[in-house]
Amino acid sequence: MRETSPYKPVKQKRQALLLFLFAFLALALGFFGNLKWGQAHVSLLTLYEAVTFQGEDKAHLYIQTLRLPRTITAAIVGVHLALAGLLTQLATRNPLASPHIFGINAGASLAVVSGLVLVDGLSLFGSVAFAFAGASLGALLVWALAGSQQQKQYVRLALAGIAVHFLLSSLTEGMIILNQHSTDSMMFWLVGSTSEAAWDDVAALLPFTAAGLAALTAMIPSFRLLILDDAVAAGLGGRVALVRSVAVLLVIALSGSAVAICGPIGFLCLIVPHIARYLIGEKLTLLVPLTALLGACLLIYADLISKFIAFPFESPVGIVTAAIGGPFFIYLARKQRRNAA
Amino acid sequence: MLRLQLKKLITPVLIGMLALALAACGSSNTNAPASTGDSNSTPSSAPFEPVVIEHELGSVKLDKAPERIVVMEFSFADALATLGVQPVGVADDSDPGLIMDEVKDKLGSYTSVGSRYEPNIELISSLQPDLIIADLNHHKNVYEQLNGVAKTIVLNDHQADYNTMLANYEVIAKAVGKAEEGQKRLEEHNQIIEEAKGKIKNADLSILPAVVNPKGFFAHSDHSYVGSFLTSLGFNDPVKDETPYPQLSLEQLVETNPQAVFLLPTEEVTIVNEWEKNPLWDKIDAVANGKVFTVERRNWALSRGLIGSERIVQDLTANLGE
Repeated sequence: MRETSPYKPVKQKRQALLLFLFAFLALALGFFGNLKWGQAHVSLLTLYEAVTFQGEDKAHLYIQTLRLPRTITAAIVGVHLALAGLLTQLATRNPLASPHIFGINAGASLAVVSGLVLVDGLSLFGSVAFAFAGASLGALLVWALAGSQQQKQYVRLALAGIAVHFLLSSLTEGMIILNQHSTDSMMFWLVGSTSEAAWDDVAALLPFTAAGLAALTAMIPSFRLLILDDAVAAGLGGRVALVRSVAVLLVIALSGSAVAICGPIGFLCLIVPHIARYLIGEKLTLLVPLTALLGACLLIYADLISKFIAFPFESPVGIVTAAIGGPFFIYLARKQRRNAA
Repeated sequence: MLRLQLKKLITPVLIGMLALALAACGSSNTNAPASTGDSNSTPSSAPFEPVVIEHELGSVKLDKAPERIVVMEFSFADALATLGVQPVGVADDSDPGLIMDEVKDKLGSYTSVGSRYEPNIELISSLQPDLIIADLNHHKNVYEQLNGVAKTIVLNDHQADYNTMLANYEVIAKAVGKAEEGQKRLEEHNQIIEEAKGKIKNADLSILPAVVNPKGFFAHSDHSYVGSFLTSLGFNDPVKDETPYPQLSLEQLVETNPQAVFLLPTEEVTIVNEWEKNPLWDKIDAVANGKVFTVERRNWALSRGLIGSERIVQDLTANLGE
């Protein structure tokens, strides 16, 4: 083994600075692309007028009421999912983990589908509340199954997570089959889509973003404990179980709110932390912000691609993230094995 | 020790209860079962000549008029209703509310054989049918099984346009030994349509029928049943797409800019309630001209037969007539 860590730490400050600058540029470019290109043609002048909120023409309104909130939602959801992925991987010490092992996606999906079937005329707020409640319930169920014993908790967490994930997914499938005509449209949501995001969604997401980021920033010093071996961390006087619980709560808040708005968008949570770690190393004060930035970037570009797969019709953005994420996952798994060997 | 074991027990029990509760919620509301004993179909007056029916997956020879018919699509039920034939079983997705009232009245009591998408072979076979009418798209894979239960006619209904439906209608009429009645009913139908055409002014409007549910707006292009029916009446299809039911975003809808919109909601609250709040909604010609109408989805998009189509022209003349 040439290295202890599979990732090359980048020590030079200047390089880190360049990296952030580049990520910001990419994000800005992605924003521009998403605002400029869509089903209707919009000229650069109109785009400028629209973002400075002068003009009330159709084209201006496309930007102001549809593309802008959609892009912002994609960016926020990207941040949420990437950070939730990073925290999951830290809390479970499993580099291939993503929030769905807490049953979050499956719980939210089941709740939204049940809501659609059982409640007539479910509002946006209602379905978001349902999804969030479902996400939390899924996580609670996994936690209850895994138990709180210290030893081998990671293994049991993963097993319980997969079991609950499949249980809840099967119930969701059952509901869809039994109520086919009223759940047709759910397929779009179940793959994860940002295409209907409006300002209301942005407003619904922002409190979670603000609270989540604040809590995360405050907890960064404590989260370092999660990188250490449990015994070492305990020896240093850290309350590992408590820190881990906080991490899981943050995962629920971040990914639960994202799933509630956009449906379960796959693979993003898994791959972004790895890319960020590869670029900048394990230092959390740098890793967390870069993960967030790259998460936003990736989802914005995936969203842009999703508009053009079946142009002029929308495809769910989850298809794009899965197409990028699938091969990457296999690459990671193979790499892990090589490192372990 | 005991506490630990109890704890071990509780979680699976809870999960089991959850699963049960959900299964109970999802269970289909069974339709009032028909009296399967007596013959439901009216015997035809004329003696039945043995016929060979050509269909999408082969041909079937019928020696006598079928008396116990199971239909696997709404439009077949519509067709039988016009011919005064009562099927013993109908695939109504376990929701009789999806069949339009007029058809339901004529069908009388029937046994629901469940989903149109996943036919319940056991249930169908328990009705001891002597004819099954199935759809090419949904039932191609179970054709052999259905044919094992009873003689099966497979028609292309799910992707049929208006003219295909008319052709299918003649096949069905012939199969139940009512070719003549069928012909008469078709002429009647054509007359109704012609009359309606006279009443509808500016029939060159671009009209967009669309199924709307809480998550999406599904336009029906001229490759769909309703769309093709509307173009056959002279209206224009604003979507012009190869796919029958493209899902439109608000941006696309505004770009499409139909002059009249007929909404076919699946539920009370749909995506349109959200879209109406957007200033873009008012930029659509149909909205500006006050030509957005809400009509019944089961009449427009599910029935897909003569009765359904006649209701469509009624809605059209009521809303777009003089």
